[in-house]
Amino acid sequence: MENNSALASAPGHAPGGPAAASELVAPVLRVRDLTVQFSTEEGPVQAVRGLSYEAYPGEVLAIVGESGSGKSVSSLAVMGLLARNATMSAGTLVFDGIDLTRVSERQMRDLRGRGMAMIFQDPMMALNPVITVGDQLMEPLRLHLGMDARRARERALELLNLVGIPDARTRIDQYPHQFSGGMRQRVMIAIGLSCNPKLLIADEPTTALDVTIQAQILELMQDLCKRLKVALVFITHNLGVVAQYADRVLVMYGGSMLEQGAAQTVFKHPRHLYTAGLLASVPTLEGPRKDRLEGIEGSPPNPLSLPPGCAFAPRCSHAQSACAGQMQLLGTDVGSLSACVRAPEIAAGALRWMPRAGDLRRRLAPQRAGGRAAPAGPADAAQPLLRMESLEKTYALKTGLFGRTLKVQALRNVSLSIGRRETVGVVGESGCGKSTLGRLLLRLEEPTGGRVLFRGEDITHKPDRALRGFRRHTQVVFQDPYSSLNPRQRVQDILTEPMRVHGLASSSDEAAAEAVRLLEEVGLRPDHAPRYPHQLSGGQRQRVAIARALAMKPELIVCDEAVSALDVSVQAQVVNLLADLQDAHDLSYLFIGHDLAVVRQIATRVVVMYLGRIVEVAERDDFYREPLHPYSRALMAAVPGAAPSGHGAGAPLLLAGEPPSPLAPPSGCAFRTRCPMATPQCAEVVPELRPAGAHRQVACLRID
Amino acid sequence: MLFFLLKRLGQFAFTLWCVATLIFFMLRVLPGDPVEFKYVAEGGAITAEQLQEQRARFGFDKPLSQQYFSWIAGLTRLELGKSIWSENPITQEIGGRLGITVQLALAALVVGLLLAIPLGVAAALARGTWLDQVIRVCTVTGQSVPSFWLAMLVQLALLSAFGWIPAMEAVAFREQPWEYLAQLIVPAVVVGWRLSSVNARLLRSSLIEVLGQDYVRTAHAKGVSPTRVVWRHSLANAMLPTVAVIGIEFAGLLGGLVVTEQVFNINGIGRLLIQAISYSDLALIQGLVMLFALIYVTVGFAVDVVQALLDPRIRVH
Repeated sequence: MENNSALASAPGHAPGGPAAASELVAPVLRVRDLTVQFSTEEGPVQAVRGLSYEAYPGEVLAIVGESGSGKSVSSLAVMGLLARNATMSAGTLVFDGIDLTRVSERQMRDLRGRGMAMIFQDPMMALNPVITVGDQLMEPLRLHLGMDARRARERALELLNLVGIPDARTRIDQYPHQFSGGMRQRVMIAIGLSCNPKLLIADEPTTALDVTIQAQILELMQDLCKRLKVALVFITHNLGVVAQYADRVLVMYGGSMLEQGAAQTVFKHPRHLYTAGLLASVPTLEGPRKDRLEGIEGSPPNPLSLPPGCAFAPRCSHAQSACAGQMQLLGTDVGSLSACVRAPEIAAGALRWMPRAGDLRRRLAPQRAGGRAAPAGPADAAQPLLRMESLEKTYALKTGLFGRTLKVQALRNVSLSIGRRETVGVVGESGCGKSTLGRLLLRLEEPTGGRVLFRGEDITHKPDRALRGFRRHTQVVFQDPYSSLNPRQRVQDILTEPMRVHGLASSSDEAAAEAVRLLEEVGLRPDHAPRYPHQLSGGQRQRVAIARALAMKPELIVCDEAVSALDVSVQAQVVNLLADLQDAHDLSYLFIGHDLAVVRQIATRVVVMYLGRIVEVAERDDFYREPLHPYSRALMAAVPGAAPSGHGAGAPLLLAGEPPSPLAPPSGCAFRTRCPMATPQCAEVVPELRPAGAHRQVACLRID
Repeated sequence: MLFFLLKRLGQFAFTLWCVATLIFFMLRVLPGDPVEFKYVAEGGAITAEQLQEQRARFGFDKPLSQQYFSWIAGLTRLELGKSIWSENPITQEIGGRLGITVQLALAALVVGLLLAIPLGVAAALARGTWLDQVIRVCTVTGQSVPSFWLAMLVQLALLSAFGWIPAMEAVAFREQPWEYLAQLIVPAVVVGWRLSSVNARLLRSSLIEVLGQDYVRTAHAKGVSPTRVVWRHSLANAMLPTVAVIGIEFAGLLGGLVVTEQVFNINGIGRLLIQAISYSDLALIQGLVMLFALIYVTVGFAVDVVQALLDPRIRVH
């Protein structure tokens, strides 16, 4: 109800919507003042507050927001799939001429799967494990279109072909666990499109997938939606995906819509400070690399206690008293709608997003004056902190009930050194061995071949007792801060326990004081010390995990997808924090990641892995200027358009297929099966890493 | 597949050998001489000489190691020896009683499932409502009330309300089908209720978990009716943990209907075990224990098979 707005004055016109403006097509879906409230034990939660939008046939509308912004809930509300404790109200909710606020549950059920369909985030969970893919795909056909078994099967085969599943005749009778994540998501798309719906809602459909597979799925969805004239509502947190694939974008925060408009317009000329801040939080592949991300402080609001007026005001560096008043969505100079009271100032160029002064840097300033020093780089490589020589790791894998044992070569002939103050970024698709590399480096597992040297000392097969010194100097931060902290330990115990174990504090008072100092160093407050992990937000937990690593005064920290699970704005804070801590403590990082833009922001050197082997090692700037290995190039091309400088046009070079099974890797160069440059020779020779220019190595026969 | 079966068979044999060894030596450690007990109980005085003679007849005069080896050797030929008390072959003693126990256990299993599935599903769907509460009271009672006590209550109730009680003498289905069913149904319901209580509660919690899964949301998004969501998209998944418990409970029924059989005067395996123990009939106890062990390992295997049928992910490819 808060956004009774400019929308009313322009009915039927999506702001900046190309489809609407040029063709005057009727929208498939019209939402006005949608409100969803959950009653919980802690009180009512306002999940969606006065959301209004339209979806047009053949158009991709992206709904962007961080966790708790209401983006998923608003779509579940449209589908009539809200949980029992939810109540919704809407001024208008019209789908294809049908008023959804008035239909019965029975009529709603007939619409679901037929008129409107939905695709969910995690394809590993979204298909029923005990029913064949074919039966799951034929179900809506039989249910809604009344097809008999034979007709439904024919149509299901057509659909599987349509979404690019090879060998559909065999695959149709298989179970979901026999499909890879990307293939399952294709099946979900086939189910969604099975009854020719007018509206397809996709809730983070590629978040759980590798970047190469993500590109395939997004291309497929965009193509099908344009061809079949389906209105696609695409929910995501990934601004790159929006920039590349969306026609229009709707930015949500704290349950409200803050900005809406044509995707390119909103990204080039954001008229809401939150959008601007969010864009500044995202590291990019193109344009000059910023020294720091100019992101947003704090974390997304608690939906139990939303502030009056603009939900973003508490985190906004330009908030005024007017921001506490009622929000109004108003048209802007560039044709978008913005709920920011300062939009006219932004439009006039008088106001630009600036992060709040980084207080962490000020805290750290006495320890190290000036900005970031140049990374140690190759000059120090002669005396690396840690060296891995020809590491091999083979796992024995028992298959099924047969008890047959197969060998998986997780790492093959991997050599790498990490210098002091250096950040080595490791990238590659899932299953490429990057996490195994991290575990071997930490000596959490012993390699089956090769050596690991720490400060020149061979620690490859040292007994655990003799590893205590090494353990102190090498720490790890994991991806999921929800499971990497013991839920039964208070923050201060999490921090002081390792100090006790290693005798780093002489008394418990000293340890407690040190814990408080660590909390402040990672941007938390002393009053976080007595709390339990579940009382902290995701970003705060990851800060605790970093503080725990710092407590050991380590020299090397392995960050295994350490920022992947965080919201965009929080991710930027943690990336900045890691950089600041490196400056302050001369840390080295092994940064394992799948997001090439984040790796660019933090790494000084980049390692690309494929099926257990390193295929390219290069200095960061060289690598991002021109990746050499065809796999590196394909990875780079698969990253959806980087945000502010987004290249919008131009389909990415799609890497066909999926990584081969590590149980049966191809002969010769493992990448040859997907490589556009492969020659018959590639099947015979395993390419060695060879120097290619200064400080750069590539393992490819086709590159000189 | 052949390798898997052989391996499984090897595990079977090993388990059974362990049980055979344990029961043999445990019974030998117990005080008392079964042969002497038999003749003294029959009221006759027996001389030391006669006792020796009788003991020799049952092979108790041989060294323990020799007795053990002949026991194991007999097992490999599926021979359990003779009952000390009745002097009939033990296989024959068991064979005559096993049928009625298996029938009762199967009937209880059917009753248990017929109760457990609807109750569990209803409780899961109506969670938090009065219906859930009512079902919870029923199932908690079913778990906490001993079945023999309930059995006696039921018999008393039948007698006082209808003046009827199932026949005490066993009848065959072929001769008197109605009497047979009437005889079976009351103990089956009493035992089945208890069985259903455990499984209804288990099914309720696992179904609630399954109903929260993403693939159930997918089914709703396809426009599948709520009934079909439960029966087609959720029940098989929710039954997986239940099957394991049902298997163990069923194996328990085959060996553990001791008290129920006593109360309902059913001449099954349970009563045979009581008799064997009260007569100190070592050979018969050994034979019965081996039977129970065999039942447990077989049911364990059956549970694996059923789970593989329900869940393609554990199927052998």
